Amino acid sequence: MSLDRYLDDAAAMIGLEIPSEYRDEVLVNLERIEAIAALLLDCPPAAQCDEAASVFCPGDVE
Amino acid sequence: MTVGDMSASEMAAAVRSGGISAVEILNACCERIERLDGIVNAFTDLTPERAAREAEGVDAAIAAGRDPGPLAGVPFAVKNLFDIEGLPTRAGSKINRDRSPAGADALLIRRLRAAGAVLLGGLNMGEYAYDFTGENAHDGPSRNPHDPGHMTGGSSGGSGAAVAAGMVPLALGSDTNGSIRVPSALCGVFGLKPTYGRLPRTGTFPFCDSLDHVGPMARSASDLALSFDAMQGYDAGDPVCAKKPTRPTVSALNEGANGIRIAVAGDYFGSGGEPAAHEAVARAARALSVGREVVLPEAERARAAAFVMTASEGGSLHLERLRTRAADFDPDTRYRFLAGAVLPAHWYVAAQRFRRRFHEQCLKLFRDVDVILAPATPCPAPERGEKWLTVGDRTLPLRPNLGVFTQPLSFAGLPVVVAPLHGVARLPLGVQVVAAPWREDMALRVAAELERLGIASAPVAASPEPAIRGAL
Repeated sequence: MSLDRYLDDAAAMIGLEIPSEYRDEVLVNLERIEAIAALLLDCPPAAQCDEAASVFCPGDVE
Repeated sequence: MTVGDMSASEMAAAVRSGGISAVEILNACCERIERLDGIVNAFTDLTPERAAREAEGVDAAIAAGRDPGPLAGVPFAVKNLFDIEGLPTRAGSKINRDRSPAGADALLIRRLRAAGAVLLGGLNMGEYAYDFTGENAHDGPSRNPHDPGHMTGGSSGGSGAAVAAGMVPLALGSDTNGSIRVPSALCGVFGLKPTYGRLPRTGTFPFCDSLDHVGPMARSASDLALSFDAMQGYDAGDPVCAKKPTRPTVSALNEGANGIRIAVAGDYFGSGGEPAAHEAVARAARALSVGREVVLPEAERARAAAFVMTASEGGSLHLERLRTRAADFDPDTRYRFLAGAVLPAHWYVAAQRFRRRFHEQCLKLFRDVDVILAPATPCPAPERGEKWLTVGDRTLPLRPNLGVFTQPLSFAGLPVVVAPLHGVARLPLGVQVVAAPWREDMALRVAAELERLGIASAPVAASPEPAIRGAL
C-alpha cells in the first residue's frame, strides 16, 4: 500500500481530517518516520523481548 | 562578583548567613531580566509580586531564627509546562492558553519552595515539548545568550537561556528525548536528566508518558545536586514515579571521581557529529585519564524506537486537538503530530518490546563501568532558523538530528548530567556524563570533577547589549 493511501485510510479510521494544505508536509513526516522505523522493524527476533517495557501496576483501594 | 554571577549555592549561603537578603537577590535578578529578556526571550510569564512575597518570607524566617532551607532565597523559574498556580499551563502552545489557570503549583515547584527557593516565573519552550531548537511560533524563539543569532536548543530553551544569561541561577526543564540536555549543551550550562521515574512529574503537562523526565538546569554540578536533593522523593501523583529510597548527592560530591570506573562511548557515539563535538568528549576523557571505550549495542535502533514511540504517543495525546484545532498548532509541530497520530500500533509495540531488551543490554554494560562519556549534541548552537545540519559529506534535517546522541540514553531511562565545555568551539558544547539507573550521584561526581579540573564550566554569558541587539 502506498503511503498516500495509508494516510487517507488511517486518518479516516480515527476520524482525523488532514486538510489538503497540510497533506504534503504530513507525508514528508510520515516518510521520515517510516525510514527511521525501518531499523526497528528489521530488528531480529533475538533482539526483541516478548514483554513490552511498559508496566501497568494496579493501585490499592484507598 | 555580582548577584547575576552567583551560583545558587553561593546565593543560599549568603542569604542564610545574613550577608545579603533574599529580597535584594530577587531585585537584582528582576533588574537583569528587565535588561536582557527583550533580547533573550527566556520568560513567557513573570511572577514578581508572588516572588517578592516569597523572598520576604525567607528574610522573615531568618530574622526569626528559623531555618529557611538549603535553597534560601534562590530565585528559580520553570519551563512553562509546569503548573504555576493562577496561570494557564501553556506548554509552549497557543491552544493551552484557553485552559483554566492551574489551581496549584507543580509538585517540584512546591518542593523547591519548601527548601526556600523563590519562584520567578514560567519559561519559553518549544510547542508541547516536541522540539530540539528552542523556536516557537507563538512566543518567538528563545535566543542563545552567548550569541542571540543562534538557537538555544530545546525544548527547554527558555530554561537554558535564563540560566546562561544569569537571570536565575536555577531552572527546571523536561526531557523526553534530550530537551534538558540539548539546551544545556548549546547554552553552556549544567543539566541533569535523572533516571526515568526518579523525580515526580506531578503537575506538569505531558508529551510522551513513556519517556518524559523532569530535572534541573544550573551553572554548577553542586547546584544541580542541591536542587535535585530538594526535589527527590516518591509521589503517588505520578504513576511512573518509583518507590525508591532517595539517594542524597550533595554530600557525595566531596568524594570526587575516585574509584569511579569511567569509559568513553564509542561506535554510534564516536562519530556522526562535527569534530568539535567529539573533541569535547576527548578533552573530558583526557582530563579524567580515561582510555577505555565501550559500546552501547544497538544505540541507533534505540534512537529509532524512541523516535517512533514519541511520534505515536505525542500524536495520540493531541488527537482531539488535532481534530479540532490543527490550525492553532505551531507549523513546526503540527505535521509531526498529525503523522504520529496515524502510525500503526505494531510499530509502537515493537518499540516498547525493544526498549526492554536495550535496557537489559545497558545494565550489562554497567556491570563493568560506572560512568560513560558521550557527546551531547552533534554541533554547537546552529543559527536560528537553520533547517539543515551538515556533518562531513552528509546533510541531514537539523530538528530531529540535534538529539541524535541524547535520544538513545533517555530511551533506556539512564541518568545523565550534561557538563558544558567552553572554548572547544566558538559557542559552548556539552558532554553527557551517563550513569547506571538510580546513580545520579555518580554522574554528578564526575561532572563536579570535570569542573574542579577546569574542563567544564558555565560562566554567565557576557551581555554587551548593544552588540546583541545588532544581531537581532
